[in-house]
Amino acid sequence: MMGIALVVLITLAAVAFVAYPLLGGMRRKRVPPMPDLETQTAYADAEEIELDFRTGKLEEAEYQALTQKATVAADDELERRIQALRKARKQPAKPAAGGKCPRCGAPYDAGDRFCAKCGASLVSARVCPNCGTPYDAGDRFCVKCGKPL
Amino acid sequence: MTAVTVGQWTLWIALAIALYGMIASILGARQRVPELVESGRNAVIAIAALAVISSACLLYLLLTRNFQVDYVYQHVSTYLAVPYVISAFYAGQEGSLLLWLLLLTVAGAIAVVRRRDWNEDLLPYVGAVVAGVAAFFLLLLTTLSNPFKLLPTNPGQGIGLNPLLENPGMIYHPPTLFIGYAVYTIPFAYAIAALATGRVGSGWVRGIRLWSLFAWLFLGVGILLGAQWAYVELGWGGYWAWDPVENSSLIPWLVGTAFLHSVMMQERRGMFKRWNIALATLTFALCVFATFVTRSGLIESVHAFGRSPLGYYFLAFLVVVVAVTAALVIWRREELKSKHEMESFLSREFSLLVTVLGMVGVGLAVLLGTLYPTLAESLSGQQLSVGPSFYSRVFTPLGAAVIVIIAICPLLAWGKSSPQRVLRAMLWPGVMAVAFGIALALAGIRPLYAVLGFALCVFVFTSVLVEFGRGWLARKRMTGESYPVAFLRLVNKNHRRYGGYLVHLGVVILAAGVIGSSVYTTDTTISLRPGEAMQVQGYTLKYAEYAIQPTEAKQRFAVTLDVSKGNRSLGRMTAEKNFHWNIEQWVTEVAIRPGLVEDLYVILSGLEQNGLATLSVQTHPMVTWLWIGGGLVLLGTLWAMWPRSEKKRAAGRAE
Repeated sequence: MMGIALVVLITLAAVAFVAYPLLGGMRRKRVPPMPDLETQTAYADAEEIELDFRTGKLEEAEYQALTQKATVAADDELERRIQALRKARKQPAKPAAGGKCPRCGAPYDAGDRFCAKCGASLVSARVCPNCGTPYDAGDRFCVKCGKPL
Repeated sequence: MTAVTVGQWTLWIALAIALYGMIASILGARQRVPELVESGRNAVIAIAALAVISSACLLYLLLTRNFQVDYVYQHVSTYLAVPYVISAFYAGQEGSLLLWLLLLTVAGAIAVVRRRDWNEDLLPYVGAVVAGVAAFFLLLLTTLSNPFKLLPTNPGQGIGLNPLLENPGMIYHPPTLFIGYAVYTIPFAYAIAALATGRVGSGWVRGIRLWSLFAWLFLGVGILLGAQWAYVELGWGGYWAWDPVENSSLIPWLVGTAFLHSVMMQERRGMFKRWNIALATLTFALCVFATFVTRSGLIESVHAFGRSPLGYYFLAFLVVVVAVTAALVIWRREELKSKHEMESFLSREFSLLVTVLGMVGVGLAVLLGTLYPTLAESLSGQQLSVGPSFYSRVFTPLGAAVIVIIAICPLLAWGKSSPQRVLRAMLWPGVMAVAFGIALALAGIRPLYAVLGFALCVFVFTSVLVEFGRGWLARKRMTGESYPVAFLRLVNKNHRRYGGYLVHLGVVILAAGVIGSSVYTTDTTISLRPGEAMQVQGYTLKYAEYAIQPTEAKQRFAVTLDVSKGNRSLGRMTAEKNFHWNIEQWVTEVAIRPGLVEDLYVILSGLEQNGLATLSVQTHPMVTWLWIGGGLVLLGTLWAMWPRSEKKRAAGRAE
């Protein structure tokens, strides 16, 4: 009896786990990027050629030609990668289309970079909520007004 | 009986989920339904979990010695020690298949969980292949080869493990091999995924680098552990007998070696795409073949566990594997064309091609030797056997060729090397090898082909050391670092290169051990009475005492000798030959005194009631070198696998 109960339990758990994504329970996890997969190859190639040359296994002319080829390939890869990253990245954080200044609460228009009333930055996320002075990551107090951040 | 019910049913559930997972993954990927892909991925994880549960059930039944379960009855007895009860898990066919399934699905689950941007498209197919292979093993486990089969009554006592298997080797050797076999599924799965998606570039090859190194390492270490076990337990004085089961584990290792090398070509040069697909598939197929040979009894061997229809299932599975891959390769033939052309014969590219051809060639030669008796028997009806003489005739030149390749290959550069450069690079190794060879010959070492073999090993050894030395000096000149710092940074900058060289070093030390032990073994049979002494090969053996006594498991016959060489005492050695009740067979326990130069190896052939003992006294030179070489191969592979952190990599590039 115990065995059958366990089997039923295991079956239910397994089926639930497998069916979960189909029932709308899918977590769209961000895929951790592996940024320099291709460039690494190309540069590793260049590095290898250099070591071969330095240990006397390659003629000067051959070395020059191969390095030329390898670095061009590596640069191309890098460029391609940057393009891809640019495309993939979401639009840089712009102030919302209109809204209220985080310091004084005055309304502003889309595209504004500073509050027209108090001068607080609307672009930087790291702004003292009291006086609007930008601060650096890790700061614990505002350098201007001394309020805790 | 709860464990029996649960263990058996989890396999059935896993089979259903595996079939679903395979279909869901492929459909989801082709129709671009992320929910289906995700569900297929969860299915792979679920079958791994179910395999763990089922395995735990079998382990529990073994440990509680529930003899009503046929498998437990066959492989465990009440007086079997606990470590061997655990190893009984894979002592038989059913348990071995379950272990395969367990390792395969766990590796598969890890593979599908490691999601990155470069493999996102590939993973559904990787999961599908893992699920498909798992489904095959589950089919066997639920029908033909059920580890949870019950006997009508509980016999109260089991047959127990074959005493030949009661050796620490039994605990380490089979699981190590099985890890190698099972993990080779992942590179194969990636190869199929690359073909299915058409992304046959360098992405998949990089993705499987760690997997294939890991599998190769375990396979190699498993083979060596098996050799070591045969050496200490079987009592025929050898570590390798060209037994079909031994061969069948060596073949995937050889082809896997070819694969490790051909992968470099695709990464660096975009060449060998077809080779890589073919080698990944071939290695996996050969791993399945090895399981099949061990478990089917189709090929007669001391390891095979009796005939069963299982063989035909394996054969059908292999045919499917090869057919699917071949069809996909034909479909993707345009994408599989090389980006580069071979530029010169004196290049790393060409030497890698030779390496790949060499390793595959050696592998196929072993395969042919293994299959030939069976094929010949089925064609002509006559029983034939291919003995060690075939292998030594074929593999002496092949082995020498492989060592020559190892010697020359790393000296060549990518692209093109000039003959002068190569000759200059060969200068020191050549001088050392010739000097060493002449010294050996003058010292009276014969036969000459062995001297030649040792000289070749010295050549490789020196050339690897020179490689390290040149890199070291070049780095020191470039950076002005102190000697120790320059060396450490050099080997740390390129794990793969220097790990690979270390592996080469290990392989030649191993090769030297093989030459030494196969050419210079001696065997002397002597008869001694208690108290007598005799000189054999420079050793003095003095008969100290003997014992003839019955125990619960066996009738024990043992002779203890005091051994000395010159005036130096080497301690006592006890050789045994025991009659085991349960299998009604004699099992020898060899006495071995290992040494760097040679091992003293004593087998008790016979012992009479009055103490008259017949002993076979053997010396096996340089066997220890096999284990040292193997250790270096292990270290080198670990070094090559060791990841460099992203930060270090970035720093290395900025230099």
